[in-house]
Amino acid sequence: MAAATVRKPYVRQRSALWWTKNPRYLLFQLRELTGAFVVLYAFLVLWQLWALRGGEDAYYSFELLWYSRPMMVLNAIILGFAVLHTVTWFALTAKVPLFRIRGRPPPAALVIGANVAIWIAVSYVILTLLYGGL
Amino acid sequence: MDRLSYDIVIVGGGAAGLRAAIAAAETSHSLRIAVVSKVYPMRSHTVSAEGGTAAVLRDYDSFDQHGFDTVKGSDFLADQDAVEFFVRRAPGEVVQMDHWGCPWSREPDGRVAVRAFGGMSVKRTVFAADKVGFHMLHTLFQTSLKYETIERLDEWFVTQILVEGGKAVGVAALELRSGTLHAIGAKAVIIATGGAGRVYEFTTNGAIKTGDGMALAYRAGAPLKDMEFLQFHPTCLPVTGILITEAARGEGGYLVNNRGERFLKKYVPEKMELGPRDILSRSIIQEIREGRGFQGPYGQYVGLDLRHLGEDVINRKLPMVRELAEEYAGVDPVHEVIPVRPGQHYIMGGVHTDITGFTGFPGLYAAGETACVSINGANRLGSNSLSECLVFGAEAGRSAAAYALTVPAVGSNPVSALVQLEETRIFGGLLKREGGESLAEVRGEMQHAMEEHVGIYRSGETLEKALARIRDLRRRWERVGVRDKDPFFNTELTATLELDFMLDLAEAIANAALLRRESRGAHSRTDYPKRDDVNYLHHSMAYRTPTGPRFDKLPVKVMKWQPAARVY
Amino acid sequence: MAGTGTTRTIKLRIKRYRPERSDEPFDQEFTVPFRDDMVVLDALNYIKDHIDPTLAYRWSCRMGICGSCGANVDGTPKLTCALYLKDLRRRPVVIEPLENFAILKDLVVDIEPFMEKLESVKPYILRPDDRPLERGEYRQTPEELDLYRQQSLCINCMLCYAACPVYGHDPKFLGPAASALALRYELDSRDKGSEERLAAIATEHGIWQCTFVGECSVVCPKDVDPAGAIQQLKTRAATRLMKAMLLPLAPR
Repeated sequence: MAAATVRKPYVRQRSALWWTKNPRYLLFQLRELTGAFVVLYAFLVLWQLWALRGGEDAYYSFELLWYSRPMMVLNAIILGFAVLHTVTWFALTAKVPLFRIRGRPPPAALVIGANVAIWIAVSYVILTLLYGGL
Repeated sequence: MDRLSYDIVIVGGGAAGLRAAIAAAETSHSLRIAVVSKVYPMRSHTVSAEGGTAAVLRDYDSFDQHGFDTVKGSDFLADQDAVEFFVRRAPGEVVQMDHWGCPWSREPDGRVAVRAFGGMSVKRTVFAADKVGFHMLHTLFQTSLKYETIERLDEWFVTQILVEGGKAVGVAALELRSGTLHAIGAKAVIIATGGAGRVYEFTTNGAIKTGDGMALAYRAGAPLKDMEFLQFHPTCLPVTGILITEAARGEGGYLVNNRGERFLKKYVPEKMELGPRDILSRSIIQEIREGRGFQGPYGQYVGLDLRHLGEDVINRKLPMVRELAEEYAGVDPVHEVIPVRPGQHYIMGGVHTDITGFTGFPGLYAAGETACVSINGANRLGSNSLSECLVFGAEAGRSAAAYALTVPAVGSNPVSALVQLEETRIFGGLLKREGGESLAEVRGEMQHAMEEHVGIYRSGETLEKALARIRDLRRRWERVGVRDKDPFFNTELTATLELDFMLDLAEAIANAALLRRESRGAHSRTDYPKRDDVNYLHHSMAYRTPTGPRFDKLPVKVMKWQPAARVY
Repeated sequence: MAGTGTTRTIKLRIKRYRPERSDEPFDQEFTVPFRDDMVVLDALNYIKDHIDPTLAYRWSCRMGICGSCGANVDGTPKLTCALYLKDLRRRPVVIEPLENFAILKDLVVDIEPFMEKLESVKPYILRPDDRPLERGEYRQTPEELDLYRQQSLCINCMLCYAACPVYGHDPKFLGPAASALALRYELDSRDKGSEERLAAIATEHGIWQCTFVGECSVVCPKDVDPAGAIQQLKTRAATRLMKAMLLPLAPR
């Protein structure tokens, strides 16, 4: 004959703006968004390739669009997100130690630094191949 | 109110309770076992133990040595047959814990490591950094998940042991999540609810250590043994009472007074910081009384100096000590001295049991700090209590299991009538109380009275004062009102029930202390400063009566080791 | 905080929930005396002891090891026993039940889903052969112990679940602490249950649902780094899958 108790666990609704609550959540959302911009750039490159098949004149009009102000701005935005994408990706590589040095995982700076160094080196090589140096 | 039924009900989900559950489950797959705990098991106070678990593991050690250290540490009040049994079983338990995944700290060759500890003549304390209780509890809890026959009733508060025909037949428990009182039938009940530190004002113990199981057994009719013996741990942080493990001294730490002297050379010249806790606590109080303590905003203390150990040793062997000192005392032990003072920590006394964990009351068993076998006598050596939880937890589990296998299944519903009375008491009575007294005030005054009058030093005069206070507080408890009228997850109701338990225990403790007119181990009477083996080499047995405890004596089992002068 | 001549006080706003009274939680403000050495838990205890004994919340050890006292304080999951009032900027201090868990009463939340998840990762030593106790302990070097030490420190406080937006979105997600516990056994040299355990957690709502937000590791009071643990588990699970596909006859 215990006192009748109506127990109703209360489930709180998550706010749609949960990601504004702290800077790391915001960074996470932006990081996830970078994927969309990387994909967008892939489509732009495909568009560029597609434009080549029309011949020199057609390509000339394409280039007017490609080098226009709005496109520059878009490319700048995409570059920003691509860098963010790369930087955050590299930051995560330290989280899964693939080997240990004297029983400890390698210091994060070493792992991230190595990845960044390789990135810069490869980027330099590509730029050299494309433009014959900087 | 509905009725559940198990073969074995274990009250309390700490090291002893979980170890008992596993032992019972391994005895027979046919046994249905319930672990009933007022908190989720990971919260049991075992979790806060820091130092280690003692066992004979090395060639330079022996059962006789561990046994003698324990008996001498107990000021010769321990039952030597129980001690002999205990020291022989402890190593196997340590190995079993390893097999279950306990992350014991290791020697370079991979063997389980050992360290020095208070009162131990050689290094035999197995450890897991300085979080032994945390690791042991999580290992036991996670291992218990393997057994399908162990069911858990988490956040169920046991209010009464149900007795019928002179036997324990189950428990009444308040399910916090629903606010309903349940009758849980059992063939055997094991009490493993830990100690009762919250009876004191300044204690290392967490909020949940309110001695529930001891009071439950006491009310059912089982005797409480040696309740006058409480351990005051020498090194607690001022204000909070947070424990700083003995391991800090085991690794080489010093205790210093306000002149920077290692003052223990006056009191414990041979063992110094590794002397037994009762002697150390008294020494610290002496130093402070003679004006050589430090003065802080909240009282006086002495210093625990770990600086000479170096940052590397502290980080490897005492990481939690560093965290706690920084977080709760604002000092970094690598560079500064930690402020410490004695505080209540453990109760040697408890529900009387024999070596098998049986209380003598049919169907009722006990293990861990709740029980008093006794292997700790008048003073417990550090790192023996976790070993005790394992050895006697396992033993009680096996005994209860063996007993339960012989008891036929109960046909009808014997417990329902008993529970109806309990329901009326709680929902019809307690919950409806308006009263004028404040729970916090009554509780606070009890704690203060115990601290002042039944502390490290007590006398006939102070004990009489304590008893008068406790009787008065008992009357005032009757007028404590419960404002939260909703039985569902009612922590005010459970706190009121806990205070009810604690008042019973405080009375038993003060009475037992008054009757023991000698000083032995942790029980120091300023009016009877000497140990009296002629008249007092016995255990005190307290039986509950409506007008207070009735006392009996139980002889101490002296075998190999005759009582001798206790010098360190 | 009030002035220096009188006792200093601090105001707290607590999100309470009393199912017998209303369907919705409500806020209640309390003013308590304030000292520099008070933690949030001390304030809650003061309220319960002197102002409103009906306030319900969990606590026990008061030293940050039992994991009972998690709550959202000023929007961040914290252990109330390990958070000093003097370190909080906002007034009133806002205390809410731990995020992403159903509220039972006041600050007490329902942690049953978490208990089930703990159990689901098989958090015990799994091995087909158990050495007889007489032969002693399994040898484990300090280096081997160090491999899983970090993951073994979890106190089950669930602050990580409160911080995890994936768990907030989908309560079926295994979550940080349970995953870290799985890794703890994976990395323990005594365990041989990798196959079974990975199969249990490398599922849609298991480790693969994690998108590495990383907030769990930020709020963890014991530095368990559950985010890192999950990524390590992903690597192991993926490696295992590759091996199974490319080398189907190789022993596990």
